[in-house]
Formats: sequence, structure tokens, C-alpha cells
Amino acid sequence: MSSPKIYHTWNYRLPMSTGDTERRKFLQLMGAGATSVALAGCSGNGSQQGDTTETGDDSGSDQQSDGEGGGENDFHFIAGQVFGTLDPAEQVDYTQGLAAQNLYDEFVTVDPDSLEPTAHIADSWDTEDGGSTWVFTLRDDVTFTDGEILTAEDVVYSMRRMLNMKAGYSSFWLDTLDPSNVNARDEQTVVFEFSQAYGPALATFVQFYIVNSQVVKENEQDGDYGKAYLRNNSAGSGAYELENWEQGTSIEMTAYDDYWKGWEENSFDTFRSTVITEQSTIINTMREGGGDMTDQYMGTQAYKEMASFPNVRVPEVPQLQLFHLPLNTQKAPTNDINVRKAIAYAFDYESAVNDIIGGGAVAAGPVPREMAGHNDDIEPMSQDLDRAREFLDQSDYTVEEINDIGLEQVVVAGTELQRQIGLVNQAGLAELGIELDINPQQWATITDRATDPEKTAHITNIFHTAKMPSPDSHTYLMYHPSSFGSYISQSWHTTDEITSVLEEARRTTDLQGRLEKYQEAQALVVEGMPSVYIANPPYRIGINENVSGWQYHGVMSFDWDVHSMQREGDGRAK
Amino acid sequence: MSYVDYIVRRGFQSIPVVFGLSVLIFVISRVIPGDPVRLALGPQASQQQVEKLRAEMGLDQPLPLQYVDWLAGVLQGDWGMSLRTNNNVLSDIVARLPATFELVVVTLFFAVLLAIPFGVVAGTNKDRWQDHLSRITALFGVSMPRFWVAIVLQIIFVVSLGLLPLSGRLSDGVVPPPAVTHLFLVDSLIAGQFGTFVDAAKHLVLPAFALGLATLAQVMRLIRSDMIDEQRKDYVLAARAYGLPNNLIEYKYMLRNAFTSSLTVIGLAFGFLLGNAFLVEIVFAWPGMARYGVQAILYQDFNSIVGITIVVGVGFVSANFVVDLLYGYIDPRVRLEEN
Repeated sequence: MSSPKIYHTWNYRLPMSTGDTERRKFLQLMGAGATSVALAGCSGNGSQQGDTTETGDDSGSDQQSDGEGGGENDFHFIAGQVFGTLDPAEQVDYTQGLAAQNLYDEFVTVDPDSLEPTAHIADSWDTEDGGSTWVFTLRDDVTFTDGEILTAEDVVYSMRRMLNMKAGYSSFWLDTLDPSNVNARDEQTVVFEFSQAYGPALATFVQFYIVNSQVVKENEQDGDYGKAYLRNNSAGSGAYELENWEQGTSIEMTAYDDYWKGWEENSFDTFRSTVITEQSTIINTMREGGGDMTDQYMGTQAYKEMASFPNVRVPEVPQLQLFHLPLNTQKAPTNDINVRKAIAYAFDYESAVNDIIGGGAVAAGPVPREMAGHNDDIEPMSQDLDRAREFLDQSDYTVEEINDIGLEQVVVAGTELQRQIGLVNQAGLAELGIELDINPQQWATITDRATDPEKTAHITNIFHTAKMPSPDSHTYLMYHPSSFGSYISQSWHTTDEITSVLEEARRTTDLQGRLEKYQEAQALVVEGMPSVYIANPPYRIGINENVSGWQYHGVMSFDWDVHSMQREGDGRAK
Repeated sequence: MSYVDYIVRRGFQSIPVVFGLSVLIFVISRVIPGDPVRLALGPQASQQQVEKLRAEMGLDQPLPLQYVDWLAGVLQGDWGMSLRTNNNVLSDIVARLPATFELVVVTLFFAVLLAIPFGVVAGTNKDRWQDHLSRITALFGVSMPRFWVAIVLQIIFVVSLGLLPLSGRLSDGVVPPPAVTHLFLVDSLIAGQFGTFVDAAKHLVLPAFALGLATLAQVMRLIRSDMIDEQRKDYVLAARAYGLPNNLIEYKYMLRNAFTSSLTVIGLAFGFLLGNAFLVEIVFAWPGMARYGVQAILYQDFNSIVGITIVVGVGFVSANFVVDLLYGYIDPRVRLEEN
């Protein structure tokens, strides 16, 4: 039985509230005055050397606005994690992606309506040599923030740089594209010659950002491809320019006036992102009208609470994300398919989706249901303890033997949702007499264990979000042997047939034909039950009511393209 | 022993403590499970890349050699690269320490400032309502988790009353004062920016209160019990018999004697707050060193872990050094006993 899809859009809009400002100001000044008197004699010896935190040429006067940030129309994004790097070639997580999205332009982008790759810097394209050569024609009106025109040379340099650095999403191309095989045919034409036909190439290029080759070359140090420079500076053609970055604290950008896509009258002049990791502080900041947007990684309750505020809306849309429990197929007792099936049938999917995740749909195989290329013939699982017992009876292991080995489920330490999922699994397995050990571990430990099938846990909690608009990210990256060793592929599951079909899919340039191959691969994968496919969770974020233009794009961080959003009304809704 | 000899001796005794701490934390940070290099490089990194970075960072060397390299670097200002920020750990810490230092100093100052009169009043009014009130306050202060207090304060003073700012060191749009000490309160006064000073002070109120409540309670209870002990002594009886004013007896004579044990707690509290401010820093999005330390632990960024621990350790040692000096000043018997 499939779980019902729960997709809402909460929309509340009530009048802005005002406070007793005179009384507030008086009390604030009283408190501050007391503090200032007391502090006068206590903190005069704290001389520190280091980088200045100044953001402007303050000449001695203490400027203060009324809480709308540095600019008249300021967009404030609240990030739950720090920005590790600003280099678009190294970006892998959502804050790094957010920086890249706004400081640079991606080669092709994602159409928010179809969730398919579409033109951006690359205006049109064609394939040659049976799909192994991709020829792209660029727009001729794109300029970097220093005014220089973006040309094919910049694209060639950016891709070669990425391939040579072997960082970020370079693994999308490393196996099939040699740096010397990326060349400019003329100022506006770039040719990528892959070693074989590479069907999903277009989809992978959404994670390819173009840097200003002239600026980066000028700042290279010892052949580092400008890596040190771009970690802390920007050299892009994006809608925003870097103004200030205090790593771990905040990032500030200002609009690039000559951005090739142009600007709306009420577009945002500045874009700020502040790192706030405490959920209650994020909620209260949104409640106070201090923030325009949150990320999607808070607990379900946080979004429900924000949806109750008159000044915040919480859109909830189907998401290209899989939440699953990979089962280690290389280690006893989960190397037995019947044990894996018993675990999958013992799991209570309804409770997990409705009570813990708080919405979305039970997953139907590894590819998220909303993604083009999902195999609709795959039925979502549901709890069936009788079938679970049947499979357990057919397995090579008795319950006693399984308990002697000790079944382990790893959850990310400190994440309540993951712990609760562990408890649901534990309760289901207890019905079969199996004891499950829930082991909270740090993410560093989990990724380390994922490099070796012997070290990988029997069961691990994993959220896997689409990194490109193609089912390749939920098949090839999970079940092809070349992907093994990453946290994404902790089931260590493949067969010759699966490998062959996945390789064939990548070689197929015809879109429909390729999607059929991925569908075939999904059917083969689920036969081996390498995961408990729990859910395709809903995508939720908190948005201030006075922000318009936001759209879900399906690929991580593309939803935070601030250029596409505008301010409605007078400042943030409070 | 002269006071100078006493200071020098105490100073030298601090060196092996810091050295021992550095060895201990260096070893612990490198034997905890997990592979921080792989985490830093991301899930797509090949084994070859992982090995390359490991070699670049000297992590393929024996542990004693790694320590010697690290120590040599530290003495030259190179505290190693943070795997999370890719910066020199020293520059990361220097950028964040002032925020935590300012918070801790303000916290401690107010905790002690309030604890003294509350403790004296409670001690001199044993088993009266003032004493009961201080007991309840102390119990609350010690038993309530800091993060919980912080969140409750936010709800009351920010969400409900709208009296104080929610998070950060300055309000949106307020430009930080020109950096001299990196302490906003001090720098804003130096620059003559009174508005910025007031704004920075307002941002300190709630975090400082949440952080300092437990210290306030501890110091208050210690002063209270020591004041009760002092009250029973002959010199107090004599002073009262001479008809000296109560305030003079309590705050000049009794408090000086009652304060020595509190001094120990205050010294320890400085180091403790420096390293344990993270919960409050996280709740108030305070861009300090403690929050950076927690992130370092979660990401197994071991150069940062060692760096932060050394700074907190030096904070502990320095605070206790100052306390020792004050002991010697307040009670000369302490330095005489050293002989």
C-alpha cells in the first residue's frame, strides 16, 4: 500500500504588527547605559592582531539603519551551516552552492517548471560522433563583473581547471573527459570530446560554473589554478559581486548592475547570508522579520511553527530527494538478500513518513518519484511483518545468529529525526526478534567508514539530494562500482547486469532511450533490495511574505538564485 | 620570598602545564576515529587525492614527528591549516577570539559585580527571606542549562517584550567600529561612536546573562557561606562592640577575608566560560571562538581542535596565574608559606 502524498502550500498574510517603540527605546537605552558604565573599566587590555572586520570606509560616525541591512533592498538568507569555500570548482554542499549560484553563472541551468536542463551561458548545443562530442554555442552578451566579455576561452579554462583540480563535482567528467579535449572552436563555440558517448553530459553541466580566466590566471600561485585566490574572492559573471566574507559568520554581496539578464525594479540590491545554527534563533529571526529565507534542513516542527507566523510562508513541494537506509550487501548478515527483504518489510513506512518526516511520499525505488526517468512500475514498500518473517525463515541466518553478529544502524549524531527513524526500524525488527543497535556517529566517521565495505555499517541513514537533473545521480552514483567508497553508495550493491545497463544509459544520447535504461536499472536494483527506500521527503523552506519570485528547481542550491526574486511591499514583513 | 619572586615562580610553573596540555590534546585529536581528510575533500574525492592531502599535511608521518613539526610551526605562527576553512588556524582564532573574550569578560564582570552584594546580604541575613531568595536564585542558576536559559531569555526579552536584539554582535546596518582591539565596546569608544557602543552593549546583555547565571550563583553561594563563617569570628564581635557601622564591617573587613575562596572559583570560571560559551554562542549566533571550536570537533578539524584547546588552556592557566597573584596580594600568608 502506498503512503498518501502530502503536499501543502501554507500561505498566511496578516497585517504587519507594530510595537511600543518609544517605551522600547527608552528601556533599551537604560539597559545599554548601565552596561556601558559598568564596562568602562574592564576591557581595555584586549589587544588582538588580525584581519579587520570593517566592511566600509567608516569615517568615525556610527551609521545605523532601521534593521533592513546594508542596502535599501536587502535580501537576508539565514544559513544553517558555514560557507567552506567560494571557489565554484570546489563547491559540494548547499552553502557553497548558494555562493556559486549568485556569484557565478552555471553553463546550463535547470528549468524550474520541467526540472530539466535548459540554456543559460550555453545558448544552444549539438552532438557529434554519435554523442561523444558535444558542441556548445555561447551567448555573446555575458560579461564578468569586471566588464570583460565571457568567451569560449573562459569556458575552456574553467573546465580544464576543474578537471585538473579534481575537486567538487569534477567526478562527473573525470572518467570520460581529458582536459586537452576541451577546446574553443571560435570565440563563442566550445567543444567537449568525451572518450565515449556521454548521455547525461548536459545534465552534469548544471554543476559547471564559469570563472573569469584572465583574473584567475593573474592570481595563480605555483600552478594552483587560482585555488587559494578563489577560496576567498570571486571572479564570476553572476548577478552579485562579493562585498565581504567573514568565514563562518556571514557573506555579503552587491548587485552587478550590468548583469546580462537585467534587473526588475524591485530586485534585491544586496544579498546577505548570516550563519545561524540554532533552530530557535532562526525561527525567532524569521518571526521578527529579520530574515527573508531559511534553508530546508531544519526539523519538521520548525517549519510548522514558521508557517503559523503571519509574516512567513512555508511552501511545501515534492522534492528530488531520497531518504533511505542502505543495507551493506557485503557484510553478514545483510549480505543475505532474504535478511535484507525481512528488514525492508519490517519497517513501518507510514509512521516514518507521516509521524516523523511529517509529509512527502514513501519512496518507490532509488530515484525520486518526481524526477524524469523514475520507474513508475516500482511499487513503494509498506510494512508486512508476515512477509518479513517468511523471508527471515528463508535466509541463511537464524535470528540468534543475527543477534550474535549484532545488527548495527548508524545515524548522524545529534539529529533527532534520524534517531527516531532508527527507533522505528528497531521497533519493526523487534517484532521479528532481531535486536538492532542504533549507533549515533559524527559525519566524518560515517564518510570514513563508507570507504570500506568491512567498515561500513549494516544499515545507515542517508539523505541523497539530486546533484543534477538526471536519474544518473540516483543510480550510477549509487550502484556503479566506480562510485563505491562514497557515502552515497553504502550498500556496495551491484551486479554485472546493473553495471552494464548503467554504462549503456550513459552512452545513450537520445533522452527517451536513456531514461528507459535508467528505468531498467532501477528495476534491477530493487530486485536485490539493497536499501530500505523510506521516503521522498517534501521540500520546505521559510520565506518572508514580502519576497516573491521564488521557485523550486530540484537541484541543490538552485532555489536560492536571488536574482530571480523580488521584494514586495515596503521592506520585510514583520 | 619577595612578591616578584613569587610571581616569577608561579609563571614558570605554568609552562609545563601548557606543554603537557598540548601533547595530550595533540595525541587525542589524532587518534579519534574518522578520516577528516576525506571529509574535507568531499565524497567525490579519489583515494589518491586523499593520500596526497594527507602527505601534504604530514599526516603520514609518525605521531611524535607530527608533534615536533606542529610545535615548530606554532612557535613560528603557523598553527596548521584548518581542514574546514582552509585558513591558518591562528588567523581563524584571532578573528574569533575577541568576540568570545569580550563576551566572557563582560559576563564575568557582571556575575561578580552582582554576586558580591547578593552573597553578602544573604550571608548576613541567614535563614531570612533574603537568604531563601538567594538560595532559590542560586539553585535555578546552577541547575538550568545555559542554552535553555538563553532561549527563554530570547522569547521573553526579544519576542514578547521586544526590548533587546535577538542575535549577533551588532544590528543590521551598523558598521563595526574601526578595528583597534577588535572588542566592539572598546573600539567604539575609541572611535567616539557612542551609538555603536550602545548597540554592541545591547547585544551583549542576553548572552552575558545566560552565560553568567551559573557563575553568579556559585560565587554568590560561596560568599554567603564564607560570610557566615566570618561572622562568628572574634574580630567581627570586637568591631561590633566598638560600634563600627555594619556596612564597614561587612564590606571592608569581612568581605576581604570571605573573598579568597570565591577568587579561586572566579579564576576557574574565566577559563571555563572561554571554552564553554559555545551553547550560548550558538543560540545567539555570536561569531566567537567557542562556536568555531564546536564546528571543528564535529568536522574533526584537528588542527583547529588543538589550536582552540591550547587557547582555552592558556586562558585557564593565565586566569589562575592572576588569581594566584591576587591571593598573594590579598593574603600575604600565601606567599610567605611558599618559603
